[in-house]
Amino acid sequence: MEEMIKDQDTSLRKYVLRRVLQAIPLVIAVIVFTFMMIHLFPGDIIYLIAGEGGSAEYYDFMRHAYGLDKPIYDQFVIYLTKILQGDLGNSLYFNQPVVTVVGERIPATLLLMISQFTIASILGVLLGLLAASRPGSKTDGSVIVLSLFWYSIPVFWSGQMLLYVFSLRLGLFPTEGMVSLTGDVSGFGYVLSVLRHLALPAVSLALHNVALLARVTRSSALEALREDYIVTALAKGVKERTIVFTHAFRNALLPVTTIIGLHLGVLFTGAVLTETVFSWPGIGRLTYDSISRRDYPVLIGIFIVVAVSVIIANLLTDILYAKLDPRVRYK
Amino acid sequence: MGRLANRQLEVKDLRTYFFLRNSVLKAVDEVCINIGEKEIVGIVGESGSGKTVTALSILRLVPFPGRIVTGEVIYKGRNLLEVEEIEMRKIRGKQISMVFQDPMTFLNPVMKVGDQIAESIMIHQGIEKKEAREQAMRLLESVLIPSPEIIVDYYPHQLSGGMKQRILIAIAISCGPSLIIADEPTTALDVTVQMQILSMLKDIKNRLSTSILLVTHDLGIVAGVCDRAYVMYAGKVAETGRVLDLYEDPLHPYTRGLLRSTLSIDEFKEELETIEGYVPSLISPPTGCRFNPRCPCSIEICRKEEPKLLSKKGKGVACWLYR
Amino acid sequence: MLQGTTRVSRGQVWLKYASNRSALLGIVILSFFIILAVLAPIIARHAPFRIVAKGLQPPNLAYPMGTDDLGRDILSGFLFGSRVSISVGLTAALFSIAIGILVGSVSGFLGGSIDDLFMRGTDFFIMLPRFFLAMFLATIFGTEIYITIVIIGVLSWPGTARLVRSRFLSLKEKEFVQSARAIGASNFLLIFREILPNAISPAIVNGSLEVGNAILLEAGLSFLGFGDPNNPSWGFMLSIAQHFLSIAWWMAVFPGIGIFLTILAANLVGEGINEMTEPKSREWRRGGPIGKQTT
Repeated sequence: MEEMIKDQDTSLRKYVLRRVLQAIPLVIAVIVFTFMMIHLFPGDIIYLIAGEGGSAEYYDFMRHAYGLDKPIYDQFVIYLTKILQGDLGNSLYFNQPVVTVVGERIPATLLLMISQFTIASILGVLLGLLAASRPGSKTDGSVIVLSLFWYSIPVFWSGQMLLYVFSLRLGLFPTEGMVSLTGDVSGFGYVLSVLRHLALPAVSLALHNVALLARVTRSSALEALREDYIVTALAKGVKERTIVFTHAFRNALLPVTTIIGLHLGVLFTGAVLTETVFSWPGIGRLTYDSISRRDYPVLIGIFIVVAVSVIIANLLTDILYAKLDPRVRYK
Repeated sequence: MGRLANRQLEVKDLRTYFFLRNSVLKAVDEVCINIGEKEIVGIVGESGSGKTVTALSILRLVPFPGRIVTGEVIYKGRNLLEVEEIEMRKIRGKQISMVFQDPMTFLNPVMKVGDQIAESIMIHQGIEKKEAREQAMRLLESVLIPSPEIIVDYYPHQLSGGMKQRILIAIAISCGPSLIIADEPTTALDVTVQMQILSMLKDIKNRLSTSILLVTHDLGIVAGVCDRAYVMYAGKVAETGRVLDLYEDPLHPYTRGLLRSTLSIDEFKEELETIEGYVPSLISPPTGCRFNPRCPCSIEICRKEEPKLLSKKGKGVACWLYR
Repeated sequence: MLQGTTRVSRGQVWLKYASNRSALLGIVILSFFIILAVLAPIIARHAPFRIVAKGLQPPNLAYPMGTDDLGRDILSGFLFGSRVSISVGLTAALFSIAIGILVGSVSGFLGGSIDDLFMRGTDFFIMLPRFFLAMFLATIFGTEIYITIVIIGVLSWPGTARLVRSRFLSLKEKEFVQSARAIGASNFLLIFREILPNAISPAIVNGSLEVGNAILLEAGLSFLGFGDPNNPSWGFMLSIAQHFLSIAWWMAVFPGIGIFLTILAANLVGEGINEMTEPKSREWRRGGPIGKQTT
């Protein structure tokens, strides 16, 4: 009788390495795709880079700088190199590198995304598990109905409604921005100010995500509860609460993690739209402004940044999944 | 009919029905089982005979939409069917435990096997995790798992089928139960491993003085391991008695048919003997004796009235041939 | 009432019943909006973008949904906006189901390198954030309504394709296919007669959900400014409403309700069909005697 004594750390490390290596061609694919699409532009590409209303000499200069007079393969190499070096072009409005413009605003978006997602996941998962623990009951029914309801409300509209009721009408929360312009710039007062500004946008986003997570957790938990090992646990005399919140939960978490991975793009989208409603100084606001300013390099840059972020986030989710599922960790 | 002295468990007139949308499936219909101390009792039958549902009914683990309609399950002087669920949880895993069929699916894939064993110990004996882990390791040793200090941290998928089944057994014996219910514990295993598991069960009966209720479809297993057996057909008990008596002189035509078809395989007969016909629907079973459509010896009354289980030649048999 | 049916099983029955009803409700709501969209030019009292009255009027008898900042009738705008949402939604459903089934079944059935290739491509598009992708494509190709509809349609089928493919894969190996093959059925027959009918249900469910996604996507795009000003949609109306939120709540409420109801309807249909085709019972708890609590 042999036992396979595996070096468990190596197994996980190998998996992580493999996933990282798989992510690289994906990033390249995004760049290729972006390049292809840019070149499908029905007008002169130079407008996407240098904006409209420039002089002929300016355009010629830019054309040369971006190698637009060269064959397409060379163009792609130039493009790829620039991006890998972090050069996403220049913002037409700010006259600064796109990376700077975008980079300055990412932390605000991340703050919003992470805060609302944390609340949403804890609450959503709890509700989903609660519903699964009493299938067919009123609790279950209400979770199903409410989550369907909230999930269908467009995030930016609920943001507008919340803004109207709690901010404009009741005056409980500030109406825009991340921080009040007057007041402390650091310390506790600052943090409090940020929190007050964060409250409404985070809540409107969180409601949507709680609904999604509750639904997904509920069905995933119900699947897990139908498995045979739950009967073993019942036969051991384990309490119902432990069965749902430990035995089933740890298995249900796996498909939920996968689904979260698939939804990362949507998370970003929600944040972007909500920022516009609340004038939150993140990427969303930047997108909105850049559209009206026709700042194409910024828009294209945002696309690349978000796509790559999603790839990275997917990678992290996969690694998280591997940590949660021992069948992946220990082969 | 089972030793009168020192009955561990007594199942009386158990009826477990499944309430489907428009019909009722009578999976277990008036079944009586007795289990004495220190004996291995088998329940034999084909699939659909109700043997598994009977076993599950004892611990009140009947799956939806099944419910126990009437009957008594007397254990240590109490009727388990009247006890509150909270009480029942104290009995499950501690006084009466269960071993299931497919160790692959009946172990939680994301929990370490040591933790799954320790959980039982912690619940029923209020012991701390560290101590429970120690006990789990000792249990692994007792079920003959090598290097228990390493295996205790393993996950089920890292172990072979036989080892996983032994984990299930370790879980079952962890709190010193007086009765273990084993539902087809070897069906999913290789033949060589089957023997190991069965001899382990016999060992448990002897060393730990535990009674075992063994549910199986395999007559060979019954012959090799059980002291007494109940033959079930279509939700009812057809015949029961000491295993040697059953095999030497089967009374019920169904038992005879079963033994004949099993032996014909073992004896490499040219034509395999089978029992004609199919297992009946439990929603609308045949009137009278449920076996009568397939019975080579059926007489008039068999089609009209159900035979009761009566004593005959030291066995119990439910057949009109033995009035 | 059958003796012995328990509280538990009543809950199961309610769920099935409710899901049938909710799918029906969803279809009713969607039909309502489809009718609204088709009849808009006839029902609307005013041209949607014509300035007809004093601006910023709250809902009143003449203008039941009020007027916007420029004095346009919001109700007329609502009616015409429904046309955009419905077209987007239905196109997405169509693309998603038709192309999704086509790609998914061919890929799942043929397997091998073709499957690999198709799935690589599909996964790439599933992974990319749809909204940003749509934005990017809108930047390149423009914001005319037809382009938006095509873009959204094109982005809606990868998910369905994946689902259909996995169904195909699992069905391919099942017995009834093997037996058909043994009899000598051609590949074509196998796909259409045997496997396809069973593979369609996830496509339909996903198709309905895609309607909701598409409407939301279009609304979001318009809200940010990628809308077609010649065909203002509800999202577009919301983006204008944002500026006047404190003084004209009706500008935001009505278009928002429109988006909400259509998405809700699509989700009701999708979820309802899902519940109906899912035969498994939800009850995992185990029990014993009637009258005693389950585990």
